[in-house]
Order: sequence, then C-alpha cells, then structure tokens
Amino acid sequence: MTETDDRIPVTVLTGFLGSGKTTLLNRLLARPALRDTAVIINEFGEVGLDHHLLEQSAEDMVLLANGCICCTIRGDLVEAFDRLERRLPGQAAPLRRVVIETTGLADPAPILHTLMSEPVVARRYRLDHVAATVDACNGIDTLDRQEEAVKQAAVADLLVLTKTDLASAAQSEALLHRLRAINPGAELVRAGKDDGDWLAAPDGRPRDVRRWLRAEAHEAHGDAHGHLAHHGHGHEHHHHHDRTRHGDRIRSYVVTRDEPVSWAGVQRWLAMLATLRGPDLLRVKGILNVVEHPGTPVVIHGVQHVFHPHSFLPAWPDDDHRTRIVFITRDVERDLVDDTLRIFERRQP
Amino acid sequence: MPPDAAARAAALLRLWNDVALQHVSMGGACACGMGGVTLRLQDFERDILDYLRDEAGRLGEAEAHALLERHAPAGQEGGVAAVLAALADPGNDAAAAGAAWLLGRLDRTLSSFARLHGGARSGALP
Repeated sequence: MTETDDRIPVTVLTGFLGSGKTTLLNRLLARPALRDTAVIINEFGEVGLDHHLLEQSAEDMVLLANGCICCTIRGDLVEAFDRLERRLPGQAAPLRRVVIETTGLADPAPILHTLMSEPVVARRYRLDHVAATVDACNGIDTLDRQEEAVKQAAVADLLVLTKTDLASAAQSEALLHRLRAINPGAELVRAGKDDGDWLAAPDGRPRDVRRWLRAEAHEAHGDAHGHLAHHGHGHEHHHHHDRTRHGDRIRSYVVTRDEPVSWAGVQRWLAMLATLRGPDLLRVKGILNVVEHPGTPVVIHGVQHVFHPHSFLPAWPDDDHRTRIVFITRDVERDLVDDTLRIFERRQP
Repeated sequence: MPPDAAARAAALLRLWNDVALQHVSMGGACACGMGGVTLRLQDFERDILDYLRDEAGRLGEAEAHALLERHAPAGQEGGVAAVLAALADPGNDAAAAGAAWLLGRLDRTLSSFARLHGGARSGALP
C-alpha cells in the first residue's frame, strides 16, 4: 500500500566539500529519465547543466519575525522556487522533479524547513528524499572533524558513497560501518555502480512508506549511537556507549508500540518534544496505529521542531500494524523518548 | 514512611519544584506554527497523574491508586507536589508497597521529563 501525492518531488542533495556532489549530479542529469528535472544550486559551477532548468540560491537566511532561531527559512530558496514557477509556462515538458544541490558546508535543516513549512513551496512541492554524498577516501576523517558532515549523514534517507574506486577495501568498509552507526536506516548506494535508480523515480509514482521509514533497520541496529573502532587486531567491536572518540552525538532508534496509541496524546507529546528538544530532533518519521482512526495509519515526519502536516494512509502497507517512530537525534536518548511517550499514549481524546 | 522512601520522595519533590515552573519558550510568529509557545513541565502535571492512575488501575496497584486518589484526586488541579510531600513525610502511614510502586514510577517519569527539559540534566537520584 502506498501514499499518493501529486506534488512535484524534491531531492535535496547534500554532502561535504569535495565529496563529489556536483560530479554525481552532472552524471545523473545526463540520463534521459531525468531530462525534466530542474536544479537549484548554490553556485553555478563548471558542470554542463545547460539543458536543465537552473536556478541559483545564495545562502541568504531569513530569520522570521520575532526570531525563532530554528525557523531560519531559506529566503533565497523560496525565491528560487518562485523564479522556477515563472519560467515553467515557457517550457515544453512538464516539470517532474527538482534537485536542490546544497553547498558542502550547509546545514540541511533550514532547507528542509523551507520545503516543509513555507506555504507557497509546500503546496506545490514535496520533499522526496535527502541524499548525502560521502567520499570513500576521506569520509572518515571528514566525519571526525566536521560536525556538519555528521549531521548531513544523519538526516539523509540515502547515502551515496563516492570515489570508491580510489579507496581501499578497508577504507570503504570502515566508512560503511561508521555510516551505519550514524544512520542505520539510510539506504547506502555506491556512486557510479548504483547510479540513478534512486533519483529517477518518475513523477507521480506512489511513495512506498515502508522504504521511506525503514524502521526495521533501526530496530535491528538498536539504540545506535556508537561507532565501529579499529583495535589493530583484525576485527572490530561495537562501542555503543563510547561517544567520545569521534564525538558523534547522533543517536538513531525506533520506538514501537504494539497496541494502538492515542493520536491526541501523541500530538501533545510531539509538541512537547519539539518544544523542549526541537534543535536536537534531527529527523523524526513514523507510521502510527491510532485509537481514533482504526485501520487508517497516520504518517508523521519532522525535522527538528518543524513537522509536516500529518497524513493518513488508506490502509496498512503490510501485516505489521505496530506504531513505529524512527528518531535520529543529537543527544536525546531512547529512554527519554520512550518514557515520555508512555505518559501520553493512552490519553483520552 | 520508611526513611529511605521518605528521602527518595523528598529528592523527587526537590526535582519537581526545581523544574516544574521553568519556562521553555520558542520564538513568536514563526512560519512553522510553533511560534509563541511557552511551556512548563507543570503544564503536563495532569498528564502525569492521569498516566499514574491509569497504570495503577491497569496493573492492579490498589494501594498506589488509593494514594493518588487521596492526595491528587482526579479532576483537580495539581497534585504531584502533594503526593510527593505526603510520601516524604516520615510520619505518613501510607502502605509501603504502594508507596514504593508510586515512587518508582514517579522517579522514572520526572527524571525523564527533567532530562528532556534540561538537556543534560540527570535524574534526582544517583
């Protein structure tokens, strides 16, 4: 079972400096399946994107009235979408996808906030997924040194390993383990080898909620907030309680409930979490079995304290009717989330 | 109350008094719709007590349920401080098993709220 959505899908392509975003994008856009893609980039580079609709954004942040620091809406991005809209009538083919290529240093959260909460944008476009490129040669070092790179990997639905031909097997393997520890739910693909399929989903294709949620990956991984460390004796050990070596403060886990929960209670709980720890909720996504709407799963999706309007699925995608909420957080432990949900999950409507 | 239970209740009462009235504010008029929200843990006192009553009833913890009804009757405002103050009184003749059950739930619940509220703040008890 799937969720339908007629809005134009948007892919946010992020990744640290030099990780190969532009090279990947250039290669992908040469594919016929992506010919009706518009690209919004921070800076025009040396890549040949002439046959695509191009818009430029310039990293200007608009702090909205009364100054909620979490609500920095990317004004440049809103303007880029606006310019795109004005150019569309002159185009021969309908727009089927937008790719936003961020700068390497960008925090993806304001871009996602803009897509989710700016009414003019959200009415016509939907966030399809967040892809992050990671350089197989230098990825470990970058993750060690740059917190933004860890955050980019943490919020991604898709991690694209680049330059794998230049990396040793040990480098690639270590990076894979590290990325799995940061974000076990993200799909991992190799640039070149697995190019294209993930971006080439045709406009209008129903969205597979199971693939989007990937709760089973988080369940299998447990409360992952550690890393895999080499000890110099030929194998690796999980260190789920050692967060100091690399400084990763990212935790990912899934909170499940076997019995239907109170939707009124969950909404109150989410509002509380978002208020108290919004900046630390890097990504929250879930499918809920709620008392108030039996047989109609509720889909939720949030980035920091901003939540998409929830949506209802017409039916469950499979036989698993449990409530499953995936959390990717910075220093918000699973027990806090689990314990506080207990307070609200039986709330009377 | 046994001295250790009374001391535990007193520590939890201090924790509650410490964090319950602190405000967490978000900016006003933001496009995300969360603007202008000001929140205190005390705003969730009713939720906490409803949860404890529900749990006590569901799990057959009659003594704990009676304690809650006595010090935090359903439908009345407040109550967490009253329950903890009663349990912190060494002269209180509350049933030990019920008090222990209630203190365990309150410890976990309030500590979780406090840690969420204060980021790295730890629970009341070592």
